[in-house]
This record gives sequence, structure tokens and C-alpha cells, in this order.
Amino acid sequence: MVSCVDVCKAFDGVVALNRVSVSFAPGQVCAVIGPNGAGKTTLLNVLTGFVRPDSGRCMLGSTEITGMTPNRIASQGLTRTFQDLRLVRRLSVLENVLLAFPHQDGEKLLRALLRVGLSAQDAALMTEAGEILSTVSLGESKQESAGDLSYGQQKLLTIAFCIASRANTLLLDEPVSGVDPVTAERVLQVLADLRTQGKTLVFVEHDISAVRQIADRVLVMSQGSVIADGLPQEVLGRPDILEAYL
Amino acid sequence: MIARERILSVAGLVVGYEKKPVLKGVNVEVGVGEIVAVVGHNGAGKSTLLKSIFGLLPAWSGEIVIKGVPRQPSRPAELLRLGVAYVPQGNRVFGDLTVGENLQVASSVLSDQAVAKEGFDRACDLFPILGQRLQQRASTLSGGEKQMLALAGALITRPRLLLLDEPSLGLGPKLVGQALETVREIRSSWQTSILIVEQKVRDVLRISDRAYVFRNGVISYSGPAGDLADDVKLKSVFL
Repeated sequence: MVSCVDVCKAFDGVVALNRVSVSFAPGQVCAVIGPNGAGKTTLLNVLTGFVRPDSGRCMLGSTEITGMTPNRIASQGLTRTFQDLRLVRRLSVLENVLLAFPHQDGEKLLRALLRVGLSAQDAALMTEAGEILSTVSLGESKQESAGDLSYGQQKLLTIAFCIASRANTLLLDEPVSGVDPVTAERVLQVLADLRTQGKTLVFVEHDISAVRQIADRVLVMSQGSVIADGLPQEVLGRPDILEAYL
Repeated sequence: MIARERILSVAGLVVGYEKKPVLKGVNVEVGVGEIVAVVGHNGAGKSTLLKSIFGLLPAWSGEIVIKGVPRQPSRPAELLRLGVAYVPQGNRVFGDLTVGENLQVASSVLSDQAVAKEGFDRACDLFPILGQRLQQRASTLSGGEKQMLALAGALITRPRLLLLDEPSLGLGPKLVGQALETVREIRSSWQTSILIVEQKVRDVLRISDRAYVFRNGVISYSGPAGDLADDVKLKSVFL
């Protein structure tokens, strides 16, 4: 379970999170919605260590992760995507996915120096990376530069990173924003498959049809606070939410 | 074909990445004061078209004519001075600079300081939230606010032709409509011609005069935006 308690964060005096306390249960698919500037991405940034909260605590299971570096949090099984994607644009699609696998031989300096050619682990990871890319419909693009993919394909690639990271909890920042309807269906299918594998998914999204399609919980934020939290059919039908956001 | 004077004519444009062609000979025109939408699937070549017009991606063949003058190859700085502005996809702002500094950087292309000041003020009028946050670091703005800043930066140069790549990206449902209304307002109050790429197809068609539908690097439809209001017609050219 990933959670935070009484988290506050302000940027240059502008409050982004105001005593936010939430928890996401294992296997849950939770959509975080709300107007621009509500604090949705900041919540993801705080939970993943990219932004240190001014106060409050973040937990992953029984481990306190407040103030931990993003790579340490990722190694504990909590990973994420970004609105601005953050690919290594000059590397191939396959190479990008290979970077995401944890605990590779080449991460240790001595092992890296002693290596000659492809190790058995490298070969296995390349095969697995190819399979993951096929899952997200990028099997035929694996040798292309990541920067040459279309925006929708790049979004699919960032989800492939998350899968390769073997994290159990995935925080996704606008997975279908800017994506055409056909590719969006593909993204949502991949997310539904991850849910059946027992992954916890928390996703920020403005596309309400996507939210209705895959979320089993909706959290609404406004001006740094959580203003609604519940089942999609309940939350999305509330007149105050419709008025403020939709 | 359009009746009014053209500010942009693209003819037979072929362009791509490495050896892979993305646009395979497209013809696009924008008349003075027009809003022209480019829609289509991811990977159809929409953003590539804008990058190529703005000189960020060299054309393999074909012609790009702006204000009656062939511009091939063209340079972004030259085009900015000519009155062409480009707002790329994805909130591209200088995160370490404040909102005010971002706007100053945008206005630095203008040699006349009075014009730069006027552009600065008008951009703040159009997006009052930016005026309230001039001292805030841009990296701490929300996605939607960054989008406004990027657009404001482009408008400071008082463009005659504005190239917009998905201005609604990352905006909440209420703001999408407002952002596109702002685009219409820019056209009517600044007399700017606009070529806009957008994934929110129905919303963009509502504010556009004409539209092009791109499919795998070629044009599957070009004509009045209103003609695509019909679902069946839209699906037949889009899917």
C-alpha cells in the first residue's frame, strides 16, 4: 500500500498540497482528477520522491519513503510516468526499455569492467524487452529512435518502462492525454491487463471517459486538497464536481 | 482551394526522420485570418508538418511559401522576425526562469522595446494568471499554466502566422474549451492566421474555418471544418 499523511507543499508561496492524506490499496485502480493547478502532479511527485514535502509523511507498505531519492523509491517497487515523458530520445525504443530493468549486471562497476560481450542476463532481458514492446504494440518499432516515435507511441513506451521496472505500484501522469482514440484504447487495454496482474495503478487524467472505463475509485483534488473520494459512479455524478471541473 | 490571400502554402512536402518518410507529399494552405485545423492519428505527420514549416526539420522535397516568398530552407529565428511563431507540444518553457523572465526571453526577439512592452502587457491581459505569477518559477506552474505561458510567449512577438501544436494538451475539460476560445479570440483581436494541430477533434473543428485530416503521412480530407461535424463523414476520413 502507498500512502501519505498530512502532506503539505508550497511553491514560491503558492500552496500545491494542503494537508493531503490518502492511501492506495494493492490492486486498486484509482484516478486522480481535478482542475489544472489542483496539485495532482505534485501529489505524484511527492509520493515518488521528485519533490520533498514541506511537512507530512509518505509510506510504501511499512517503509517510510519521505525524502528518499526517486531511484531508491523506484527500487522499492513504486514507479511512475511523466506528463513530459522523459525518454532517452537518441536511444532506440528497445534500448530505452532495457534501461528500466532493475538489478542488471552492468550496474556494478566491477562487473561492468569485467564483462565481455552479451551476458546471459543481457540476452534474456532483450527477449523480455521485445515481449513487453509487443504488449504495448511497439514490437515493430523497437529499432527506431525513441525521439522519432509519435507522441502516442512515446506514451506507450513510458508504460513499457513501468512494466520493465517490475514495480507493483504504477503512478501514471495523464496516460491518454494527447493520444488519438485508437491508441488511447490500446493504452487503456494495457492498463486493464496490468490490473489483472494485481498491479496498483494511480493515474492522473482529464479524459473522463478513460476514467469511467478503468478506474474503480476516483479522487478529486482542488486547490491542493482532496475534495471527493469514492466510486466513479458516485463521484462523477455529484453536481458540485460537475460544476467545478466538468 | 481557398479564395482569400494566402499567408502559407505548402506544396508536395516530403519530410521524415533518418530514412523514414513521415509526410509523403502533402499540400496545405492557410489564408490570411483563417484558423485551419490539422487532425489525425498519432504518427500521421501533424507535428512533423509544423516542425518543417518552422525550419526545425529540413524538407526532403516540396515547397514552403510564407507571405508569397519560398522559404526553403528556413531558419526559426528568421521566421520569428517575419512574424511566424510556433508553440510546440508539451509545455516547453524555461523551468528555472520565472514567468516574467520567460516572457522577457520571448520578447527579446523584438528590437523595438515599446512593441515588446505592449506584447508583454497584452499577453498578461489575455492570461491574467500569468500577470499574477510573474515572480514564480515556471517549473512550479501546473501543466495548464505552463501551456498558457508558452502561448503567451509566442503571442508577444505579434505573429501574423501562429503554428500551434496541441494547445489543449494536459488541460482539464473546462479549460479545453476556454483554450480554444482563446485561439479564436487571438484570431479576431490580433488578426493572426492560425494553423492548429489538435487531438480534441470536435473541439478544434468548432473553432476552425477549414480542416485537413492526415492519415499515414497523406491527406485523407481537406475542406470546410463544418463538413466534418457529421459523425459518419468524420469517421470515414479519420479511421
